[in-house]
Amino acid sequence: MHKPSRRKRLPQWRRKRSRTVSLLERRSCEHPVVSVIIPAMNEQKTIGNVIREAWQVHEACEVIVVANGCTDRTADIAAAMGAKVLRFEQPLGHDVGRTIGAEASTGQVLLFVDADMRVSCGHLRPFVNAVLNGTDIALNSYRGPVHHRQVHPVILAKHTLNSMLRRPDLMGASLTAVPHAMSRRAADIIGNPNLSIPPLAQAMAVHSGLRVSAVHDVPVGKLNRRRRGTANGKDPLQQVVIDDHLQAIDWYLSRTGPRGGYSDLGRDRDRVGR
Amino acid sequence: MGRARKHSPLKIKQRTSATSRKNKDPWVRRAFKAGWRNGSVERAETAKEKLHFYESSLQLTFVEWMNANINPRPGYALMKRLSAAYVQGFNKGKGSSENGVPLLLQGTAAAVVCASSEEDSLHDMLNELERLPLQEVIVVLNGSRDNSYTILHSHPLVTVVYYPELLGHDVGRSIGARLTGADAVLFCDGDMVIPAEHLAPFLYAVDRGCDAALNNLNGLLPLFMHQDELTHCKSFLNMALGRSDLGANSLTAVPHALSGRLIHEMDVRHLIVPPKAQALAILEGYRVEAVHTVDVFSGNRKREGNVGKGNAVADMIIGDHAEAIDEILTRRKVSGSMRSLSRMDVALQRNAI
Repeated sequence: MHKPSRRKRLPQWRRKRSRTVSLLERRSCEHPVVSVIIPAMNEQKTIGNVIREAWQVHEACEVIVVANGCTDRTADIAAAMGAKVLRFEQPLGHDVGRTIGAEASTGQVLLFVDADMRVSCGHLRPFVNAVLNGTDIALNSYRGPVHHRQVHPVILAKHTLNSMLRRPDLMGASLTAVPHAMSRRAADIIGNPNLSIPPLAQAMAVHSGLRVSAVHDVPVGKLNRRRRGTANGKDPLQQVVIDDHLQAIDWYLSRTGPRGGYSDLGRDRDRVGR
Repeated sequence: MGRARKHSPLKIKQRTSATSRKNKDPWVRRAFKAGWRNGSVERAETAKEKLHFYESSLQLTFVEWMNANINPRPGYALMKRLSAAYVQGFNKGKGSSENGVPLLLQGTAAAVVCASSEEDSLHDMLNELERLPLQEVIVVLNGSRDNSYTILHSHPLVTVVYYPELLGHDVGRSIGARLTGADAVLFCDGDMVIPAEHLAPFLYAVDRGCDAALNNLNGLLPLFMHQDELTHCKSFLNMALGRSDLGANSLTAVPHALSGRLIHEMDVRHLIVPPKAQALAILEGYRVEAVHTVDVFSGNRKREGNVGKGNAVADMIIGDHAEAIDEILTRRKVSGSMRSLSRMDVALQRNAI
């Protein structure tokens, strides 16, 4: 940004806001093109910023916040900012909010965002645009920290799943990571309940021939907030994500045979007797 | 697979000679002297007909000396030095030039070599194997279209299993494994000449109680971003088995050694699909370890079908890993342990205030 000479740049909170629309007055429109789905559990610190960016993704959009198990003001903030809020007393579980949000959405394009990190609208629009231009599922092409010999198990699982699905070109891109967008058609083919298990949804999408591509790189690893229970040792989520990937591989192998459709180059297995 | 290395690390490191004053280790000097003494005794005796290495006086006297003097059994690094010093002394005493690698093994040892058309390397390969105290060498020769079969005649230790047609990848291993009754079985390919010093650690590890001694390739791998799909699959399989410490090491790679116990208790047909055999071995509680590094990337012959991305062999190996994962999942379903944690518990743990 150009800085007028000799004047000190003001801090963010004192700068004059140049918004064309007052964000507090935005409401979901009647026939939205884009549905932004934000599962949230106790994210009052960040939810406001996330919703503000979400409104700017498209002129005709609706924002759906799935507030589950919240004991703070997350739901109130979301409602005050004009989002459609679905409240659940009990926590739904990791990624289950995506299913609930997808069921409640009416847009052509479903954009999935996490409530715990602010991704600016400039980084969200490429996903929406890719889907509007004919891609069925637009993934984040962020690979994570891959400049080590041994990497985080989740990164490894994502790469391996894509290899098994014969899509090594996707590398580490996965529905597990946000942001990503999908067309209504893709959500219908995969089935809303399966969106709760993102790797399974990905396997289904690739297997059913949907156009899946990694379209834009948002380095979400840096934006992720540090959490309690993750500092000392293992993140419990890791095991869930790896089990998800194994379940996805299991589903894929149940459809394509135990070798996943790969040949064994004419091995003469009967030559070896018992 | 991996980058080409600038220099081949397969050369054997030349340690300071056992006779030199620089060598401070008393046991190495003692091994040298013992070798000299036993070699001198041999010199007096009349030359007998040529024996196999495992029954030669070099191997027998070395084992005798080790059992008498060194307790407990040393690690391979020391064993290698003692063995080299002993051979040096033995040759000096006897005035011969034997180049065997005597090893202190408690059980019997054998090697299984799979070969198809490898007349260029097969002879050297078998010469290296004959430097080890092996009771038998089984060569599974399949689909050979060159002179490989005649080469095998000049090696008396070799048992040939001949198939006129190609059997497919890794089938030979399981045929060979079925035929051996040895306690430690070394698996090699006929297309790569690996010095006996680099094969011995696998046998030695199995003899010391390991069930599957793998080639440790982790140090040769590039960064994850430059690794190929196969490496990802191998690492993922180990991780899914809860053995991330194995990295990308796999039974797919040669050389490796298996224990006779593992071979006899497990259905040898599983060896046709090496990752599946690895998964089963780990699931059933066998000791699987990566014991020694032999660079097989730079030595492997390039041929049609194994060069470049997405080649036929790479596809087959991915399929092998799919099969291995399928096996793991089938077992998990039977035992009803598909998921260890529920999504809701994790959410409560991570996102509670």
